[in-house]
Amino acid sequence: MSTATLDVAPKKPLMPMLPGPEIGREFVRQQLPVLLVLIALGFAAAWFQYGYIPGADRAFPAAGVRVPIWHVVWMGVWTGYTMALVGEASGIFALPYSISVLQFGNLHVSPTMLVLTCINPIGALLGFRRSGQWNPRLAVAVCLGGVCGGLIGPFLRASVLSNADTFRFAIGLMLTFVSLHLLLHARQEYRRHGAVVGTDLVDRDAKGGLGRMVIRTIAFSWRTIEIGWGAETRRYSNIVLFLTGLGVGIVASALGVGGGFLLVPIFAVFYRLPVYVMVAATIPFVITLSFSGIVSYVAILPLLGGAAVAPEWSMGLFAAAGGLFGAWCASKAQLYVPLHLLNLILGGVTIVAGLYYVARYATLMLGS
Amino acid sequence: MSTVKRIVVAYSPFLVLAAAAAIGALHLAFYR
Repeated sequence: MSTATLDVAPKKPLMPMLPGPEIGREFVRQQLPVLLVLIALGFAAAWFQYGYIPGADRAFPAAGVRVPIWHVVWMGVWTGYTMALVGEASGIFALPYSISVLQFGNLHVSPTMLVLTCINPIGALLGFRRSGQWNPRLAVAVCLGGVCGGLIGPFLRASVLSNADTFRFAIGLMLTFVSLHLLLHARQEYRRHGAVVGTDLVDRDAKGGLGRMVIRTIAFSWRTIEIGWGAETRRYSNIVLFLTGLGVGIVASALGVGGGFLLVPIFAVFYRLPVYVMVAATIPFVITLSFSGIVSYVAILPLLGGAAVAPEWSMGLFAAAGGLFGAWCASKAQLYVPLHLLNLILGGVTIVAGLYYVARYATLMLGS
Repeated sequence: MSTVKRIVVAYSPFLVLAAAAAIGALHLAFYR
């Protein structure tokens, strides 16, 4: 008796091309004008503040460092690119790079990074919107929570969170465990399914045509939201999403850090959202949280007796121009980067942040 | 998409990080 073997596994479709001409048009019409405005504003800020253009020869006065302008722009590009790939703003890379490599270690560094992280995810927002990784209804509850948390946080800094180092230690432990879980999960998923890319999730019958992803809203009420992409659906409580945004907003603004590095791992581990989908919520979230961070920095902190420190405007704007471009590039490339590599980057970044807080606490304990 | 292009895009975050590390090291060597 002869036996026939049937190949029942569906044939994987060929990966579509990056739509070059379409991306070029998008860059020229949407990104280039904003980039040029930001660069011009950077030069104008330097000229009106100091009467000269700082750079490699003359130091940025507030920052007190000599660094070529192209290097500041490049810092924005690479931090914006790598972080927007995993749905975050560039601060988590840009802050340590500014301090350790550019030697920008004084008080002005935090507000300068705020200028960068406030503007840079806008490039990703516009880019992801065009790619179809966009769902305002998924973002609304978590963003509202973020705004409320961002405004409440500074008031807790002096009271509930007065022992911030212990609190940072707890956050560090949480991040370390979450990132280990992410890394192990990425390994398991890769072993089980091989390399999965975002283009596998693209809805080929959608109106937008090939290469456009669609995150559908299946049901929406003030209590719940049900979304779908490809063949998958998820149902979430809007109240829980709001509380998640609120908690992350409070912690982030109380500690004076960005919220993306807390929210993205939470979405990846507890909400089981792939990075390709969660950017629809996390990028609007980091933008709203950065704006509420600026409001708290400029308006609320002085009310509480703290002094508002001015950013190094020109440096922040140059970095923001690069960051905007890098984040936009990430939004165009993300669907082509395999999920296990994105999770590897996310896990790597998260574990570094977590271990930093843990090590800092351990150093403080050993020193006292 | 061609294999080379696919690999370059897939590993682009690591290429970008490597470039950043190299430029950062050069900066520290010349501007410190």
